[in-house]
Amino acid sequence: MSTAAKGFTELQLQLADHIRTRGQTVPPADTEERRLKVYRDLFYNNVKGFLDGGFPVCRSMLGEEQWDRIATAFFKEYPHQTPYFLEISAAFLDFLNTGYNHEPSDPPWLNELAHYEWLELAVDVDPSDKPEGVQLDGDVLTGVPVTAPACQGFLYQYPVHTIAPQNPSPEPRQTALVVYRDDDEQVRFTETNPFTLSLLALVSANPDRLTGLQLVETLLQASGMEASDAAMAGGCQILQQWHQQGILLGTL
Amino acid sequence: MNIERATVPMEHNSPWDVQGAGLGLRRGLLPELLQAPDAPIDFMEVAPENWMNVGGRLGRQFREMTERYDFLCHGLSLSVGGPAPLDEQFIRDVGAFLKQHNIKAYSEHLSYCGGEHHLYDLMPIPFTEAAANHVAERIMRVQDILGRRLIIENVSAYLEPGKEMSEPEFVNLVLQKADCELLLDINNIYVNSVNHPSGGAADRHSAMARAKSYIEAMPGERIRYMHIAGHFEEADDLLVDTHGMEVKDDVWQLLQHTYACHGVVPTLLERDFNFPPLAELMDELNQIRRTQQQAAEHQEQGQQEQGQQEQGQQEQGQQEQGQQEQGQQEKAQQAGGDL
Repeated sequence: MSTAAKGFTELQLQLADHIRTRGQTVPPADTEERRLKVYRDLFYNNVKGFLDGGFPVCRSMLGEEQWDRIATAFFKEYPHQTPYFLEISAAFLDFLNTGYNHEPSDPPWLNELAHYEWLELAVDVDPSDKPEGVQLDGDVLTGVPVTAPACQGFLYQYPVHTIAPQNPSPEPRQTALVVYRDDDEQVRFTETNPFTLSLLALVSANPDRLTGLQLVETLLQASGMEASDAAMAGGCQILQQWHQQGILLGTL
Repeated sequence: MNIERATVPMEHNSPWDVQGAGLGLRRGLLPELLQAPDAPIDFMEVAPENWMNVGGRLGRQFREMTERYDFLCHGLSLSVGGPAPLDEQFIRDVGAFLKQHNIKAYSEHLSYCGGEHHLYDLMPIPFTEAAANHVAERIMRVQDILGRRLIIENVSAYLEPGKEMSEPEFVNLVLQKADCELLLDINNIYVNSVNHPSGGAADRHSAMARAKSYIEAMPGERIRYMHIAGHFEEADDLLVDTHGMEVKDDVWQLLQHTYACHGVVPTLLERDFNFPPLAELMDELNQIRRTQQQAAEHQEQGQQEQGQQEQGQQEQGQQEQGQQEQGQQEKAQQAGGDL
């Protein structure tokens, strides 16, 4: 690289660093502070705007000052690579889980709440679609059940879906949530229990194309439970209920 | 430094049927646009980064729009002037997206948007020859990967670090070295002419004069389309390119000047937030069309006068004259086709 080339690259990195650190590093020579501030503010507010839009509950629960502190740390410290603006929210989750130094004042449910809020956005735009040839009125017990687009289950340690200004300090409680996109392309959440999450996992990954009944049986066996009539009926009832709710589209 | 031209045969952008007045598509505009299937919009533009890998309701609505209108893509994340290596997987994915939605052309900013990490906004490239070589090499690489010409856009800037030549000189140099096309952003020229007096007077009159000579210095044959937008006046000598307001009078004047210099070119209105009712945006699109129509009429008059003079000077055969008239009609149709 020629010296001239090195010169302009260094200038570029110097300006980028100055913006990224929100003014903590030396800017390129002969640059007016007022104009540097335009860049610093535009860039930071742009990224913070994505966080504000993606995590409104986190923001309101933490308060502006703490939210701004976390957003600044994310903007400055996270090794941003994705060219996609919608993926900035996923990068923020990754930051909370791996790079962020939590402060004592941060609520213990922060990462889980952020995940729950991200999920709503992610499921809304998830590219997965209804598979071809689904029998919408198929029997989900005797046929091979199919889940709604982007359907997933998650187990949280806190009741994340209840966190609100009126409920700022929930007690820890295992909370199983199923999220999916319904027939009107709206994102839906349903609270369930860990056992049924395991059933959903079996339905979602069903390489042997087992029927609903076989899946319930498999789950009971794997859990070391006896496939009694009552237990089987319980599992079947869940599948049928999911079909009514739209968590299951039908059968293939 | 000598740069070799791209050797890959360039599948030229499909015949340029994009005409008239366009509108940038933003998510905030979607609901109203979906309800207005007859909205008089000649073409639309999106940032591919906001619509790639998007399914569900938004993905379906986007598909509906691309089936209704001619579309262009105006990228944000390429960082074509950046210090980090080009994200070639991303470029290939953009290419697939362009094909998937039958996008007519792909433009990007003559800018960079990160150091080692992405910063998601546009920073000014130092106007130096070394930087021009660097950008041109990368543009050619993008063109090789995509198999089509890239259209680059002049950007608004609040600083000009490391400047060794004027902005029009830099833009020209890059266009020439990379053999690419130009998206001329009229608002950005205005913003920069106010923000960077470059030793000249800071008043608006002088800024307009600077903007006009910038426009005149652009290579007309490379201008593929244009942008206009509104900006925010942070201070008398500092305008910020926000795309959040109506287009200012000075910018309309410059648009007129550009058509007079370079002929009528498809022109797109950018409005990114603070959305007014759709009808107000349609008024601005109509103003673009009126400006285009006036420019086409002026041009036609000029050609007729010139033609008459030539006719007086030298006797022309009946056949030739007929051809000329036909040519003029075609030109008028081209320029006013969508009016």
